[in-house]
Parts: sequence; C-alpha cells; structure tokens
Amino acid sequence: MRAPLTGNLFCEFTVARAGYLSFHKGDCAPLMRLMLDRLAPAMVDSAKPFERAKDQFVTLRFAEPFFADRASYGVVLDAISRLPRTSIALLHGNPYFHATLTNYEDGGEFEIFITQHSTIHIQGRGEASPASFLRLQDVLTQSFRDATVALEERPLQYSLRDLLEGRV
Amino acid sequence: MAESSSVEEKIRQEFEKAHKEYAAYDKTLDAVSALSFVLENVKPIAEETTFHDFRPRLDPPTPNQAQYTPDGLIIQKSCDFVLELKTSWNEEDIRQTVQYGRSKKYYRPDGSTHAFGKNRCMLLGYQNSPGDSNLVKLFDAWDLQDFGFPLVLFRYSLEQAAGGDQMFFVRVPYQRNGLCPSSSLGKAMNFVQGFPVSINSLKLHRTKFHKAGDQVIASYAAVLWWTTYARHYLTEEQKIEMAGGGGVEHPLSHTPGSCGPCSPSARGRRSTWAERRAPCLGVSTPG
Repeated sequence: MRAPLTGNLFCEFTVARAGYLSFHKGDCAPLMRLMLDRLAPAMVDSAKPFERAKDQFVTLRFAEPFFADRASYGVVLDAISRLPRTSIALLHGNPYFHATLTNYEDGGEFEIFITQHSTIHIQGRGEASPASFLRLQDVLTQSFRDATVALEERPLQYSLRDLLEGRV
Repeated sequence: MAESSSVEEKIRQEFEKAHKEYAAYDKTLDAVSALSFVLENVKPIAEETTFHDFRPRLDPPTPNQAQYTPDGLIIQKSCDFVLELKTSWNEEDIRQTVQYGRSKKYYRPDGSTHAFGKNRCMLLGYQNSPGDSNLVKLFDAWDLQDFGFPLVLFRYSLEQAAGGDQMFFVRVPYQRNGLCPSSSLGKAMNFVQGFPVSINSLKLHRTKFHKAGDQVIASYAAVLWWTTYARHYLTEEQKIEMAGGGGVEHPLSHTPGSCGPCSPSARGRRSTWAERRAPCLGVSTPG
C-alpha cells in the first residue's frame, strides 16, 4: 500500500491478512500515527467481548451463510485442528454442530456450536483467557473471512404462547 | 488382503453400532437441555417452578433399597413432576416406571428428603413411541397400582425445520395416556400439536448436561475407541484381535501423542479405558 502525503512524500507499507504490518519506505510517521491512534484501540476493542465472556456465549457472525451446508462443518473442524497442541471432540455433527476444544498451550477449553447458518457460538469454560479466544477466532476467520464478534444476548423470557407457537 | 478388509469391515460395523447408541443418548441430553431451558425461560413455567433437578434421587418405598435415579424432577407450586427419558421401548421400563410412581419422597441437593405433594405426574418420554401392545402392558401395570396420579407418555425428537433445527415434544395420542395437571408446563405437555424448542435456545443449557450422563460418556468412549484407536493405534494383529473379540488382551504399546502410560487390558472394559484417554484425542467422527 502506498499512501501519498504532501509533495513528494509518501509512506509505503504492507498489511497482511493475519494483521502483520511491514514498513517498506518513505515517511514512517503516518504509519506510526495509524498504529497508535486507530489500530491499537481497535485491537483492544476486538478483545473486549472475550474479556466479558465468562459464562456467556461469544458469537462470530459472518456476512454469508457459510454453514447452510452441513459439509462446511468439516471446514470448521479442519480450521480448529490447525491450532497447535489442542484436542477436539466432535460431540454432534448432524443436524447441528457441537465440538469441545481443549488448548493445551494455554489451558483454554471451549464449547463450539453452530446452530444457525452464519454464526458460530463459542463458550469458554472455566478461565479461558481473551488471548485464547483470539487464537480460536483467528483460525476461524482465516477460513471464513472476518466476523462480527459480540456477546450473545441473555435469552429472552418467553410466554407460554411463544412456546406453543414455536418461537422458543 | 481379504482378511484385512474383513477386519476393517468389522471395525466399521462396531463403530456404527457404537455411534448409533451414542447418538440416541445424545438426543436424550438435547431433550433434557430443552426442558431445562423451558423451565427457566418460559416465564409462566419459571414462575410456577420452585425447584428442578436433572440428576435427582428418589427415596425408595422400602428400606435398604438403592435410591431411584430418574432423569428429572420438577417441583412446582401446584404439581410435582418426575421425568424419565428413554430412547426406545424396553420391557424393563414397566418395572422402572412403577417404581418411580411408588416413591413417596425425593432428595434435595442438600441431602434432605421431602414428601411429594398431592398433585403429581409421571412424565415418560420416548424417541421412538412404543407399540400399542407395549403401551397396554405399561398402562395395565400403572393402573394396577392405583396411584391416583397420571402417567403421561410423550415423544421427543430432534428435527430439521425451516426456522432451524429443533427438539420437538408431543404427547402420545393413546387413549389411555394420562393428562398433565393444568399448570403451564402441564398445558404445554398436553398441547395436541406439541411444542418445539430451537437448538439455538437449548444450546444455552446444553453444556450443563453434555458430560453429565454416564451412559452418554460410555457410549461416546466407545465411539472414540472404534474410530480412533481401533483404526489408528493398533497393530494389524491387534486389529484382528479387536475385530474378533471386541478387545485386546495385552497392554497397548506407547502411542503417538500419548499423554501417559497405556497399561490396562481393554477386554471387557474398553469404554472405561477409552473414556480416560478421551481428553488426549483429536477426534473427528462422522455426524
């Protein structure tokens, strides 16, 4: 990426898919400002849902319905299998997806559900760290593009009519 | 070569048997999770429920008997429900259901016993509805006891629907089937069209239960054993031994990625062994 500045000044750098920034040539000041003013706060914000995730589900919502086809569950398994020093137990593969992942690198243990076409739900067990969540998020978004990360809303209180009319 | 393929075939058959059993228990835990969600998140049902337990203990009517352990106990302001979930019919179900009906007290988690209230209901769920001849035997045995409270049979199934996958409950339309008392939960169970609970909702409670069922752990361990160990960690001789007898006589040798000594003989206790090994596995089983 070559960002023109005033006159003959420019700043040339590369942003890799995984988030690596490489400065190549030119004036590095704009890049430093970008990192300090925008990138650092954005990175801090991206971990916030994971910091408040205790006993709650984190949802990774993708722009496309990647999981409409059950065959996509295999891609999810492949993606999380790429995490080093982990074990995965697939507890349910049809019709919905439920796997448990244990990360021996950092002690994180996760329940991973897919119950909707464009969303992965992750619940950390015990004291799963934000960093451990981020590693898991990273391998999933590498396979399925970026996702909006949020804490799942607490479940609604339903009426009896909701239950009998299939809205629960 | 022919011998090798027959061993593979035998291992595949054993896996399919183990996986079928596991899937059936797994659906039972889905049903428990769905009912747990309903009890806490359907407001009128939550308001009338004072206590519920999905690993309850009932006091047997005669001393020196082991405590009964049905699948659920729901104590409400106006009615007490005992829940038992089955995969399919077994003759033993009659004796077990009547036993639960005979019990007069239940245990709270603190160990104290409480007598059941006057209004009671026995809920018995099946994935596969029993045939009419079995229902006749079941209700004959129930009516003979003259308990004065109903036995209500229902069917539960995991279904794919337009709005997403769901666990569906519906009362069995059999003329002698009981009717629940008219609490909100009772009304839902009596509703002729049944009611679904989406997987998206029940997943919020699923993790409370997926490791809680002894049967599901054992059956999942069997799946692990037949998929991972029987296929990838045994020598050809051991595979032949496994396929023939369902176990191996001699301790397994050290295996790649193992996290401890592998010593026990697997014969006759392969599920337990595989269960202990389960956390070490990177497993991928077919859905």
